Amino acid sequence: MRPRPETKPGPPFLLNSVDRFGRQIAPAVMSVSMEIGPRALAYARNLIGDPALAMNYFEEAAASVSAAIEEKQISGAPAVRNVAAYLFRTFIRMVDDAKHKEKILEESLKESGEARIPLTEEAQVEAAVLLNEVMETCDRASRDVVVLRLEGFTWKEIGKQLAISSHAAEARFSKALDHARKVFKIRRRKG
Amino acid sequence: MPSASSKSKDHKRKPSVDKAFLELGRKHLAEDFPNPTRQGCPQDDVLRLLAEQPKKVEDSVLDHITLCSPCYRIYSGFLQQMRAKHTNRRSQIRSPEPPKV
Repeated sequence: MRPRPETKPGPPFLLNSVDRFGRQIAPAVMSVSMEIGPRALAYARNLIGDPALAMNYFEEAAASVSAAIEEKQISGAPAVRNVAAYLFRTFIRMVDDAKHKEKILEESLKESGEARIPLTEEAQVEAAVLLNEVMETCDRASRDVVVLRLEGFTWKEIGKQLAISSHAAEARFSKALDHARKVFKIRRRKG
Repeated sequence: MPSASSKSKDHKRKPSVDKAFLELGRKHLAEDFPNPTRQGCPQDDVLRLLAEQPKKVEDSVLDHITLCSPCYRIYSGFLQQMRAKHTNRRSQIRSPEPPKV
């Protein structure tokens, strides 16, 4: 097996137990936050640049996840399957929303003659949000299909790999993507 | 009910949109989730198993590779290896070596 390169430990990761609105972060979510926090923030820094802002969003995401878990417990709804993934995706969605709002603001401030934000950047954010939505909401089989399709597999190859028909593979992919696009459009409209 | 022309228009539009999504989606998974300390990463054997027999691997591993770019890249490598192996096998079956005289 290939040895993994050793890396130096980064600075200690410190997180408040409440977010900027004063909402509490549950101890279980707090421990997960400490685990995934450093790389979540590294991702957000790439997108929004400001580490302090990224930390605010992360605390907000942790508080929202805490509230959602509590709500699910009270209502008897199925528990969150993977708190780390749930938190990460909540955070990414918040960062992407913030990035989108920032773009709208920038565009509205720009004079009409100025160059606009390139489509590729917007398309990148959209693809990331769609993919996160698929990974968060779809069942295992659909997620398997999407990942294999991303890797350039044909429908026939995917069908063979997952022991389903090529038509079923294609249908699963379309359904997952259509659902994600619908959710994306609704979120955009809400702003 | 949608007309035949709108149906064919949709059919024409989808592939390019999906192609962009696939390209950008792959880039997103392979680059946007750095995990320099490799926290919570499964062994390479597990990633290989996920590539070869996905049904035998737990959901958490699939969740992990969609949130960890280094693992995604390793998994992607295993998938491409497996694909190449299958392609070679198919081409060998189609054109077997001529019998030695």
